Amino acid sequence: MWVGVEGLLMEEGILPLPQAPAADPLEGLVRRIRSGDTDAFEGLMARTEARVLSVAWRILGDRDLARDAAQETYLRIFRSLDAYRLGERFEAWMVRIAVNVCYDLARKRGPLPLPSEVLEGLGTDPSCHEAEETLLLRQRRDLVRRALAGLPEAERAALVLRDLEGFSTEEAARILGVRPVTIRSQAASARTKLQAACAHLMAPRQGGRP
Amino acid sequence: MSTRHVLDRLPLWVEGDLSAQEAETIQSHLDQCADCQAAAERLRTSQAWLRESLAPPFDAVDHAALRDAVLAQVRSEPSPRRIPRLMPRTALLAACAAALLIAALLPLGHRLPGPPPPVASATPIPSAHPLPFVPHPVSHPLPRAARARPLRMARAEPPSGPSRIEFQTSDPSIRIIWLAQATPPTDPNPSLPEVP
Repeated sequence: MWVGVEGLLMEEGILPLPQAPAADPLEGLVRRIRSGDTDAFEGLMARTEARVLSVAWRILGDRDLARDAAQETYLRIFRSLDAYRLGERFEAWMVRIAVNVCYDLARKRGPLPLPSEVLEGLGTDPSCHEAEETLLLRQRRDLVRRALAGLPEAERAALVLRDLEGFSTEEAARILGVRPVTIRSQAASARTKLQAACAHLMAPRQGGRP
Repeated sequence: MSTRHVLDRLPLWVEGDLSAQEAETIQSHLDQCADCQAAAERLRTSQAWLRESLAPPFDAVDHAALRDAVLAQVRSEPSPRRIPRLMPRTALLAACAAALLIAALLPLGHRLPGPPPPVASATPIPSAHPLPFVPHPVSHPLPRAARARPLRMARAEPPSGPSRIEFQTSDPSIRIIWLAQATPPTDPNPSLPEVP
């Protein structure tokens, strides 16, 4: 929605709309959906569902919750697509909605569940079924997931968006509604905690922190 | 740069969150300090473990199921609606166009017969200038939404200063006021058109 005389003239086609970044391939689909083309929404999903599921799972730590969150995310996107401003990167706008949905779900369902794999495999005799290397790999994965689930919500989101989803500090800040310096601080704190949690699995070294 | 300072900055350095200059300074220190180099290596390792452990567990089947569930719901809903405007857009644009048209023709000092346009009406203030004409919207028909209740215009003394044009749009809360300076009249006794 545009406001003011400039906005009116844009919507009447007298002034050109500000263009989305040339690299944003989703803008065309968004325009079609806005004009009533529901099939274009399927195309939009096909291009973005991996990202939405990934963000949801990494923040929530549970597959079923992540699926619920992804479904709710797309419904919100469909219903509020007119609120999306051309010129803003669509994927960032979409992820912002996904993060808010995850926060809402987490609040409704209480503390995040411990990753279920943590309870399996720990203490298993490596000589019975799996090579030691495979077991170590599994323990490492469980440890990391538990460390991530144990982070404060804000630090976890900052770490996920910056280090796993590949957003820049500025984009992550816009998505989470904080300043870039806050994102840097939260991500740095999360990395330190994660490294501390993984320390006992690492080969012993001499030296200081972290 | 002290070891303590470098160790504090490593969590930012490891993912490129430092400026190029500071990153270069850190790297120079790491090249000379074994302890800090070991700490940096531990951080790099934990970051690599993070990426390896958090690879999403969803496949094409999961994606298809998500798409089916969402589309089933989306197709039963109406298309996204535009956010309603706060003011009547067509009425405002029509009023602006009428104001520009009247202002452009005002210096000619002509009077046209016929009823005034439904949206524009003039309330002249006393001056020596003729009252502004009210053109008939033959070539520029105004949309029904732009019509407004007309203001009754009474005969008045010839205007002696700037003319005041008021546009009352179909929205009672929106009125546009235009002040225009007209050229001196040649007819000392202009007659005023009646506003229906």
